[in-house]
Amino acid sequence: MSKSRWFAVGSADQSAREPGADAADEALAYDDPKLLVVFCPQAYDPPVIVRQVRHRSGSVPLIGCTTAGEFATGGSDEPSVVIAAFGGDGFTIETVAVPSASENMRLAGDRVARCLPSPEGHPYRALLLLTDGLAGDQQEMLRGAYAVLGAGVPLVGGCAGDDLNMVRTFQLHDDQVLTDSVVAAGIASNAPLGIGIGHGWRRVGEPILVTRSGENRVYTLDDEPALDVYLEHLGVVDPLQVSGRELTELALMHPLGLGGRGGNEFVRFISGADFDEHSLACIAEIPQGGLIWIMEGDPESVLSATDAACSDALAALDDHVPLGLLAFDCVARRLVLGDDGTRTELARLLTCASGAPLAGFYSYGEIARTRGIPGFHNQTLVVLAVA
Amino acid sequence: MPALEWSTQQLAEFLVSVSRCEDEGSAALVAVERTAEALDAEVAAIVHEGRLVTVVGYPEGTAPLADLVAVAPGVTGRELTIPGVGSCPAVGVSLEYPPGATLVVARSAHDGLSHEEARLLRGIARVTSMTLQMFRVLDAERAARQEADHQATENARLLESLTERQALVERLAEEQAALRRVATLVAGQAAADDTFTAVAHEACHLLRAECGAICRFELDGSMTIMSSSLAGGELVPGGTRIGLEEGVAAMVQQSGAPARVDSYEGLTGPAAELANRTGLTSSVASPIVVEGRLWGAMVVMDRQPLPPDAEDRMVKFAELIATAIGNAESRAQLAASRARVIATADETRRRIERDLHDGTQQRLVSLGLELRAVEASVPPELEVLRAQMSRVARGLAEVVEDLQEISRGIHPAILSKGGLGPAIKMLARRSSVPVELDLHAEGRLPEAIEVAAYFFVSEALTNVAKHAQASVVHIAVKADGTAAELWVRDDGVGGADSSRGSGLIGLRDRAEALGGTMDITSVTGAGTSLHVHLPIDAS
Repeated sequence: MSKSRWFAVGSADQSAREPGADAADEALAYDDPKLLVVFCPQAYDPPVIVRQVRHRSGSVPLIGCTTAGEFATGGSDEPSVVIAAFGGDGFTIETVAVPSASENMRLAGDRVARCLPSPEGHPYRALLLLTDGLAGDQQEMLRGAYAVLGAGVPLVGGCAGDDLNMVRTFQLHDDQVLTDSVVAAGIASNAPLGIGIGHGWRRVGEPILVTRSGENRVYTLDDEPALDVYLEHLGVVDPLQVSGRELTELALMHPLGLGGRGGNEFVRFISGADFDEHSLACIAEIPQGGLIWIMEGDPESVLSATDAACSDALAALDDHVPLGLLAFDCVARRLVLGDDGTRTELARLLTCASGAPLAGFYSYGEIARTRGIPGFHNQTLVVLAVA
Repeated sequence: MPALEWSTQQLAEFLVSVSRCEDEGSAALVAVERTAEALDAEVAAIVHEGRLVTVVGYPEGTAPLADLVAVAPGVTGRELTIPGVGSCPAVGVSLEYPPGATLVVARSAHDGLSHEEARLLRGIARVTSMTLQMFRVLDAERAARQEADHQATENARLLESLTERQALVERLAEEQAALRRVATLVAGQAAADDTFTAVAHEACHLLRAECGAICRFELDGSMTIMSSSLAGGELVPGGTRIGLEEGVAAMVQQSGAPARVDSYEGLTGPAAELANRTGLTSSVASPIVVEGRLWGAMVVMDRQPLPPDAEDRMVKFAELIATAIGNAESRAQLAASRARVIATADETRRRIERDLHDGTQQRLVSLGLELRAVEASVPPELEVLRAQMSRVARGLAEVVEDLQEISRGIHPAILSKGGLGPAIKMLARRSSVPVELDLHAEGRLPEAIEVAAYFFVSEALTNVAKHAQASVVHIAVKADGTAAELWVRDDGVGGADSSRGSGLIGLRDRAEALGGTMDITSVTGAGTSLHVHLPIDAS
């Protein structure tokens, strides 16, 4: 069946003999596929899944990543291979992978930005990025991309996950399974691409001064060891009693907020801690000299952010009907929402899609730059609406 | 957050970000990026003198320079068209550094900069100016420091080179001086032993070696250590003969070329044993070649490895030694030749004297006796005849005396029979000028010495009689087993010249042929003094 532009989603869980192949078969619903975006559970052996998908899709450009959970039109309960496909001559798409990104994050951003096709005949463009959030300052990567593309090209995407192990994530590009990489698809379309952002976190307590930080690590807050100050604000008296896993759970529920213009905030996820030097590790820069807040959320605030992100994404389509949605949802929001809340969020996303297919994953960081330079978010929902 | 608090925080973050930059270029880029981030702007740029210093917000390479330059400080209502975004209000603020530069900001929000945002932008402009200026100063300082470091390095290199050259010049001067000292010794025909000792010492000193030695290769495969120098003394006594087995000298003997041994470990023979015993295990040797013949070797030894150019530096010393040895051998040959000539002449004279004495003289004496007998038998009446015969007999006696006188001049028979003492006493008796004798010469001396001494005294007394107008002549003779010495001193007019008159020259030749010397001192008005030294060769 031939269509001038199409977006389809396929998914398959472990019950399938070859979940990669089944998901690909479902996503490749029409002729002339231009791009496959693959979200793969870490536990599914990514190289095997890539082989299964490529066996079906042949040389169709592919980008993807491992996740901390996936969701699609059909639901989010079981770990599944989820594949979104872009197709038709309404799209021109090129892909790229930059390995060893952490050696020079800015240069990695510079290099992936150059895959964006020219706007001729396809005036609506965006750069879709999937990155290793555990490797390097993602905002610096985005600065590198911005320096090449300028303000006119939105950046969207998310950081790969590893089922909350916080050890190693994988990025997929064509037949390759990479780590410490950025993979990207430069998308040029003859219809709008809308991006919406929402997080639903609010500040608690007094601001805290970042007195020493660097290399995505916070050493001291208010001139005290950062880990101690953070835990103290959360009512933990003895930091030595907190395990790594407990800290991760606390961090997911209580990210750090950076002050932005006009009350806008950027949320920063705490990805770990060094219990010897009592420092905090983050997946983006926490500027030294700046003020931060400890944040909190609840199911209601998180869900209201979902609505806001969806409506912003749709509003950007200028009354075009969405072909589908790609969503990058922070894994922390899932923990806040719980199973019921997650189902509710998924229902709201599907409502927003108005019957169009949905594909998404729970991420370790989200990318959405539509205005200004900053575009890296944590504990946020980013929605890309494709018209 | 209150607006003031917000802008203060933004400025603090901006300050930290730009202060972490490493150079002016990256500081300018970070400044425009962080300005755009702080103000949520799409575009930020620094323009200076119609040139774009840095910019963000446009697709790479497409920034509209003229539009950006037109956003001058204080000019309101400007807009910039940003691809994909549209027309955006733009403002510019002056930078104090670089002078005349402008920081331009454009954002899509059309609400314009708030009071606090404008204040923040001015603060950012000031921090940016200070940062860029600081980097310029640091760059200048760094450049100056690098230049100074470079200069210092160059100076150090030059100084090192100069020091090396100075050391080389001093070394060469030292070497030249040492060579000159040895050459002076050689030219002065010093005894070979003295030359060997001097060379061994100088070579050691020059090469900072503990030990130096001159070795002569013998026909039986051994070598004689002619001279050695070791810390002011000797390694072994001069003349020590050792086997020539393994070692640096043996290598020279085999190859005829310079050789080096840095370890005697595993080597055998007297030389290796000597080296291992003394710890002088690093050695270099240079061949000594006399008139095309490998005569021996010059060796230096030390506990530490010797300089790599030791072989080259030893060559000239070895050549000087060869010259000294060559000279000494030539001198010895010449002296022996002259001595043989004189001995032959003396023998001839002695034979003539004996022939005269035993032949002609005896014949004449016999004729005289016969004539006296005939004269006695002449009858008285033949008085005239007897008178004639008597006259002939007297004449004959005078001829005999003349012949004896001539015979003594050729070779004094008393010297052969009685030795030097009686012969000199005879000369003293016959002298027309009174002679004072001081003789200390017991026993017989070698014939050549006795003959030479006799003729010295004879010639001296003849000269005194002829030229000195002296009232007395003092003669002293002293002889022992090693040398004979004579002094002839008069109180005459002096002024004798030893270079004139064949007599003195002949005497000097005779002395030198015997390896001796003759000195004459003759100051006008202070008499003449003659001194002769004649060594007695024990062999």
